[in-house]
Amino acid sequence: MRLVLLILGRWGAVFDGWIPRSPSEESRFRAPAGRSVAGHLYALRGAFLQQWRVTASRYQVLMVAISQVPTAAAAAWIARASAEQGISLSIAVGAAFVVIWNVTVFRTGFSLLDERWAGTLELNLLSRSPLTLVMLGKSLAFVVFFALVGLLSFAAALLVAREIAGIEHATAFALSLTLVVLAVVALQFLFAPLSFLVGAQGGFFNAIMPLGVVLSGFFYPVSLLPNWFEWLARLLPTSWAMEALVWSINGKEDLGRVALNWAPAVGLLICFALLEFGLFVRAERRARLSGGLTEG
Amino acid sequence: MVARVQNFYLQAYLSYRGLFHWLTPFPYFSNVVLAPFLTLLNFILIGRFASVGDVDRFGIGMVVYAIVWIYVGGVTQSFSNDRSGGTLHLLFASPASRASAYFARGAGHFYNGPLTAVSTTLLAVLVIDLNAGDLNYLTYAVAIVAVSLGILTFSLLLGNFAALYHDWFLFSSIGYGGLLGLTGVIIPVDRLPRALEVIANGLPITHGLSALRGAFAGEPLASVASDLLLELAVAGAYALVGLAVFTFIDRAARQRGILAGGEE
Amino acid sequence: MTRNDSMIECRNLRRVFQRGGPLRRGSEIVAVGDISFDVRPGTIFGLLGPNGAGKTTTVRMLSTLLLPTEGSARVAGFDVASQPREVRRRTGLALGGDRGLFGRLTGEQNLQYFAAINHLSPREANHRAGELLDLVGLGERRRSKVFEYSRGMKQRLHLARALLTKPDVLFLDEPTAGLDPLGAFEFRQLVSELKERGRTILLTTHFMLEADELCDELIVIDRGVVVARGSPAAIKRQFGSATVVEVSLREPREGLQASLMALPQVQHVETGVEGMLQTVRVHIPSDQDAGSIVAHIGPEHVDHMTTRTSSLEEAYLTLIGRDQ
Repeated sequence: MRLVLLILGRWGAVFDGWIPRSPSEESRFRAPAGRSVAGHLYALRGAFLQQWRVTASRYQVLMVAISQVPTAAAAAWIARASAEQGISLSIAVGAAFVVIWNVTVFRTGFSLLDERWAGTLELNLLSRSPLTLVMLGKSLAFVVFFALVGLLSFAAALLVAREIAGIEHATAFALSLTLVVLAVVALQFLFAPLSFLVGAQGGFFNAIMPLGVVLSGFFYPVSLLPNWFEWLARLLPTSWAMEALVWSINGKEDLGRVALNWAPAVGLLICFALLEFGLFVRAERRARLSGGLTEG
Repeated sequence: MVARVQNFYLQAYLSYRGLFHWLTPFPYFSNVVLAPFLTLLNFILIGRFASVGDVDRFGIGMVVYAIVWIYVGGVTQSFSNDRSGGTLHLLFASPASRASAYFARGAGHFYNGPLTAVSTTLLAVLVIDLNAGDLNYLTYAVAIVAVSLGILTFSLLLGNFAALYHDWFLFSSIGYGGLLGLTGVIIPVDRLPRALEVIANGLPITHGLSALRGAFAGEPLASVASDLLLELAVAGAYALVGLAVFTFIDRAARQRGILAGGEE
Repeated sequence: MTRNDSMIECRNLRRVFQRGGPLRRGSEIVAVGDISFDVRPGTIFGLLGPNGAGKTTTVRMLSTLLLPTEGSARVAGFDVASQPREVRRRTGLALGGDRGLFGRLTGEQNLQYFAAINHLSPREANHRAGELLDLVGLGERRRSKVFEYSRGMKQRLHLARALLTKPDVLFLDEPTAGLDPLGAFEFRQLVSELKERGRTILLTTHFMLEADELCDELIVIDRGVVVARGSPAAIKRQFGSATVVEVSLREPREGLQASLMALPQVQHVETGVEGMLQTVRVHIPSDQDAGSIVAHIGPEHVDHMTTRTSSLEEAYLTLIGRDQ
């Protein structure tokens, strides 16, 4: 049923049934006293659903497809001229991640500022879960939805490249792909507290977006970057994970070398998660000190 | 005449300052210098990864695309802000010349085009060795100005729709996507399907980019004159069509209230 | 609960805002100068004052959204600065206005979201959303998008949201601002019902009538300090003790307002023009003789004179030293 809704483009309804309907009897509910894992999961899911319902629409698909598919097509057209094995597929996969990155870094990046503008930020702050968790739920909704749009770029790239090569190391590919997804989530999520703390304005992300594409190596291994760009890239979990992904597609490196790239990717992921939590705590503290939770 | 020029200049300056929201130091630098260069770097590196011979081709294309980046986003945003701020209504309620007001909304953005093209070229030469050894500076300068005019008038036309539908994001996306895919920036126009090739010839950039490629190959102005004239003709056509649409919106706004309810 | 059994205990609360950005320190704005009060459980306590008096800042401090610069406050026995999570578990906050809701979601979906981030399971969230929407009279519009709601409906949804976790203490910030008279009346009835159910409610308002009708106790604040406190009846006695002497003059007289203000018994003077006549409205304590005012003006200049007891609104404005 959900697949049918997805195909019909009824994005907003996809998750609706997840909340059971029940008669409106007087509940005996009393707010839970402590903090529980289940409570945090409810918060995460609630935040995800809220953002999904607000974001998911055919209009968003159309808008993102119009702006992003030509980039994928152009990149694939370049790959088409290549004699190297697996280039087209790795470019197509990269094109999907470019969509996810470009759109979500912008949306997630402005999420705290948008919530402040809407007057809901202070209500999120009163949540029983940390602000980080609530905003992560919303960010995940962006990632999942725009991953679906990213598949359009993937398909367009393959269509232009006219080549579907095999994957050399399928298991390593699956693991690397998972790592890239997690790395993208971690990287784009950094910008939610960061843009709030620096007071980002319109246009702030217009350089961040291509910088992330270049340094993450979505289209090529970061070893191709000029030296000091590569040093910067090596600080991001995405660059290590993407490199592993490309090798698992083209088989240029053996499995051991691919696996070696996972370690720094995971390590950096953890560092990013800690950094983000710290920045959220700092953002909340600053807001409570300066009164910066509201626009007016 | 002097008063008209002064008035036009004032409108251009004030609408640019008032409606262009990227006009603060970091967003401006990021849009004019950083973002276009990084996009260029991206395509050059895709070319190197794919071991495609002439990657400078993509570099030159992206120098022109830098202008798209700053004009399309900036101008459509200005028009949309004009409506949401309620100032477009005030313009339509005034006796001001519509042509003057329309072109003034683009004039303030004009210098950003050549500026971003030059900075992107410089960074490409310095950082990733874009070959500019044979560059004919005069041809380069004229081609950049011609392409800028073409993209600016195209952006103004999109700006009309951004104001009408109160959505600069959608129309700037159409501009970004369409001009990247169809004008030879990466994919040569003659490799496009026939129908798209026809469309490409009616878009800005297509002819001016040929002239710019000539400039990088050291060709004098005279040898690319026909391309430049075609680019200017396309720019002129978009200017006229755009003004006609603007005038239509003005009339429809008064007769049918089509802009009502868009203010914030 | 606090030591003296108050549900809210506020001691010398002060909040100063710094102008300027992160790199440049600007001047200081004192939003709340020095506010102390106690709220007994199960009562409605009012913060009454004009716009900019410091009411909302006080509520933000009590609801843990803002740290006090000085002073302390305890809500339900917990310190708002050092135990924010405990305070948040026991309080509900309804900020007035169009903001604070997701316009593109339905009323029900809004409540489901806020229930979830307060750790209600989906089933509980659904139950609670349903009963609260019925309680605030939005049951039939639960599936409508919030941007289609009127101001009054949004205000009621704010209240439903604040009640999601069955809080002991409810903060209502200007709950009827911008509502039409009927909407405001219905809202006040709702608030009274909540009090009947045992909630402690702290209400900010700049409407004297609302404070009078709802509050068991209140403080009047102006420019961040308390200028009066007590029950509405006590404050009315204090406010209502003024007499307004309205005098119409035969011809305009310059400097009359200043010379009247110089009289020791005069609290407040307003002047105006009605038709061809200059009018003067003088507020004096009710135990003072209006004749002294006429004597000061000069009986020969007076066309006619009336006296009446000041309205609550006039007395309130007199108390805070402003007229409109």
